[in-house]
Amino acid sequence: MGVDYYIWAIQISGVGTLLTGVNFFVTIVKMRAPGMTWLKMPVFTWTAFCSSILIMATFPVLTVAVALLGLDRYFGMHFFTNDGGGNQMLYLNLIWAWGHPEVYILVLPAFGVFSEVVPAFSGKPLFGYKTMVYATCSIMVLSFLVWVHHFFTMGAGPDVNAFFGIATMIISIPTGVKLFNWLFTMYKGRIQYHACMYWAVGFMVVFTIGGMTGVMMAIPGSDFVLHNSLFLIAHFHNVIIGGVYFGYVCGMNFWAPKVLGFKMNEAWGIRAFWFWLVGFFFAFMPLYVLGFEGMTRRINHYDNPAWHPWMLIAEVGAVLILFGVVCQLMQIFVSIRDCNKPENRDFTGDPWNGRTLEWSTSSPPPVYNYAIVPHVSSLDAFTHDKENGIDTRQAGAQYEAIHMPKNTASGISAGAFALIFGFAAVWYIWWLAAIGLVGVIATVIARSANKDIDYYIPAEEVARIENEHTRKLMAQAAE
Amino acid sequence: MLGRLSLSAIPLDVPILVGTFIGVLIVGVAVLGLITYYGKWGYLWKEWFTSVDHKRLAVMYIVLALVALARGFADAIMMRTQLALAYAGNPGYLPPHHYDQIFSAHGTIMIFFLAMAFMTGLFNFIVPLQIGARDVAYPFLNNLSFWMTAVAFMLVNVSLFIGEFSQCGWLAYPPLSEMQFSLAWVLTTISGRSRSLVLARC
Repeated sequence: MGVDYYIWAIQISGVGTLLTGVNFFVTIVKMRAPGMTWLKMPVFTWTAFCSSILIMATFPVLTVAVALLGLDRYFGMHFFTNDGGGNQMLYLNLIWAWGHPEVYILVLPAFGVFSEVVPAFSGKPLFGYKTMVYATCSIMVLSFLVWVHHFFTMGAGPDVNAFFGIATMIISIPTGVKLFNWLFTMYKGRIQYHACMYWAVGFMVVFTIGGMTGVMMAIPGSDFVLHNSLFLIAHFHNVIIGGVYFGYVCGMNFWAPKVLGFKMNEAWGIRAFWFWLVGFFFAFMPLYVLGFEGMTRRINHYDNPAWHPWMLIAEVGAVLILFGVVCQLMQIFVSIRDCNKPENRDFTGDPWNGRTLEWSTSSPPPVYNYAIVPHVSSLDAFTHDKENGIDTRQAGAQYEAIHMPKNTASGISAGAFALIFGFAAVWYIWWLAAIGLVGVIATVIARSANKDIDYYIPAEEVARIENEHTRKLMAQAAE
Repeated sequence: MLGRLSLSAIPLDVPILVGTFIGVLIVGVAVLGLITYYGKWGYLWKEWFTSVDHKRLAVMYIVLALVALARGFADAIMMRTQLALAYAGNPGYLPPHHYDQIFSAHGTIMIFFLAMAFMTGLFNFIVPLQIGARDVAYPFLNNLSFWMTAVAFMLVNVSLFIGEFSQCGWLAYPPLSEMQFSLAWVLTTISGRSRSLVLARC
C-alpha cells in the first residue's frame, strides 16, 4: 500500500525529471547565443549542463529499479526476493547507480550558483574558470564510479571495496579545487556582505566539514563501524543542507530581482541564514557523536541514557531551523509586500553589477527575453560589453517579429490523468487506472497532432516594449 | 469496483492525521476561496498553469519546492521530538507504524520534491537567460515536466489521508518493500484495522 504510493510518485515525477534533463541538455547544446563557445559559457550553465547529462544517464536506472520492484509487488515476480532466485542486492546496486549521481545532480548546480554569486559580490572575475569547468566535468564522470560505497558491508571483498573507496576519495580533489577557486575569488576582492554572500560563505564552512566526514566513511574499514549509524545521517545532512539547500536559497536571493523585478528583503534573509547555520550545527553535530556511540538510524525509541542529552540538543537545533524556515517565509512575505518601494525595484535589470548575459535584459525580462539575440565575444559577456561601452541590448536597432510558443493546457491535462492513474494503481482500481493511462496517452497524441502551437510577436510590439525599457534606463541614468 | 479502497483506509483513529487533515482543509478552503473572491482563476489558468514561459515555470517550481519544504520539515521536527521524548520506557507520541512513514516521507519529499523542484526552478530561472536564448528547446515539455512533478507530490500527500505511505525508508529497500511484508495492511483492513495485529507492516 504505502510502497505503492512511493512507487507511483517516483515513476510519475521521474518522467518530469527525465524530460527536464533532455530539455536543458538540448537547450544548452543548440540554443546558445552566437559566439558563446563552450569555454565562454557561464559556470552555472556548465553545472546545469552536467546535471542534465547525469539526469539523462541515471534517471532511467531509477525508473527500471522501481519498475522491477513494482513487477515484484503487482505481478508476484521475484527480482529482489531471495526465495525464487531473486537478489535484493541487485536492487541496491541499481538504486545507488542512480542514487549517487543524484546527489551530484543536486549539488553541481549549487556549485554553479556560488560560482556566479562569489564573483558578483567580490567585484572580481571568477578565479580559475577553466579549472572550475574541468572540476565540474570530472565530478560528473567520477560520480558514476562510487555507488558501492553506500553498501561496503555487502561483502564484495577488499579489492572491490578498495576501488570504490579510493574513487570516492578522489572526488574530494576536484571539489577542493572548486573551494579554493571561490576562496581565491574572494581574496583581495571588494567583498559586499549581501545576504547571498552569507549563504555562500556559510556553505564553504559547512560543506567542507560534511565533505571531510564523507572521506572518513569512504574508508571501508571505518564504514563498517559507521554504516547506517547516525554518523551517516549527520554526514549527508551536512552536505545536502550545507551544500544543496544553502546554494539554492543563495541562488533564489541572487536571481529573484531578475525574474520578479524586485529584490528580496535582506534583513529577514540574513536572520534566516543565522538560524539555519546555528540550527544546523545544533541539530546535526550531536548526530556524529551518537553515531560513534552506536545509535543507528530509523529507530523509534531507545533506552541508552548516554544518548538522551544529545537527542535533546538535536531537538534544540530542529527548533532553531524552524525559526530559520519562519524567517524565510517572512522574507518572502515582506519582499512581496514591499515590492513597489523604489529601493526594492530593479529598474536597470542589473542590480548587482552582474557579469553574465541575464543581467543585460530588463527585470523582469520580456516574454521573449532578448529582442535582439546578443553576440558573445568573451567569457563574462556582459562585463566585457560594459567595460568596452557596447550596448548588449542594441537598443533602437531594427526589431523583427519574434517567433514564440503558445501556452497549452496539455501539460496540466496529462498531469491530471497521471494523478488519476497513480492513485488508481495504488488502490487496484483498474478501470480508473485504464482511464488515467488512456488519458495521458490521448493528451500527448492530441498535442502532437496540434499544429496551432506558435505565434509571432509583431515588430511594433517588440519596439514598444524595448523603447519603454530604454526610457526607464535613461531616466535612471539621469538621476 | 473500488479495488482495495474502502472507508477503513481513512485513518480516523490517528488524531495527528485527523488534525493535519482539518488544518489542510482550512488552509486549502481559505486559499481557494481567496482566489475565487478576487476572481483570479482565469488569470492563474492563462498566465501560469498553462504557461510555457520558462520564467513562469521557474516560479511555479520554486513555490512547489517551498510547499515541499514545509511538509518535509514538519516531518523532520516530528521525528526529532519523538526521539527527544521516547527514552527509557517512554514510548513517545509516534507509534513505530506512524514514525516509519514519517522518516520515509521526509527523505522522499526532501530529495524529489524540495531539492529536485528547487533545482529545476533555478535551471528555468536562469539557463535560457544566461545563454541568450528566448526559451528552452521544448517549451511544452517544460510545462509537462512541471505538472508531472507537481502531481507526484500531490500523490505523496494523498497518502497522508487515504491509506498510508511507505515505511521502508526513502529508497524502499527490499525485502521490506516486497509484498510479503505488505500483507499486514490487507489483514488489518479485513479485520477492521485492528492496530494490535503484530506483523511487519509496509
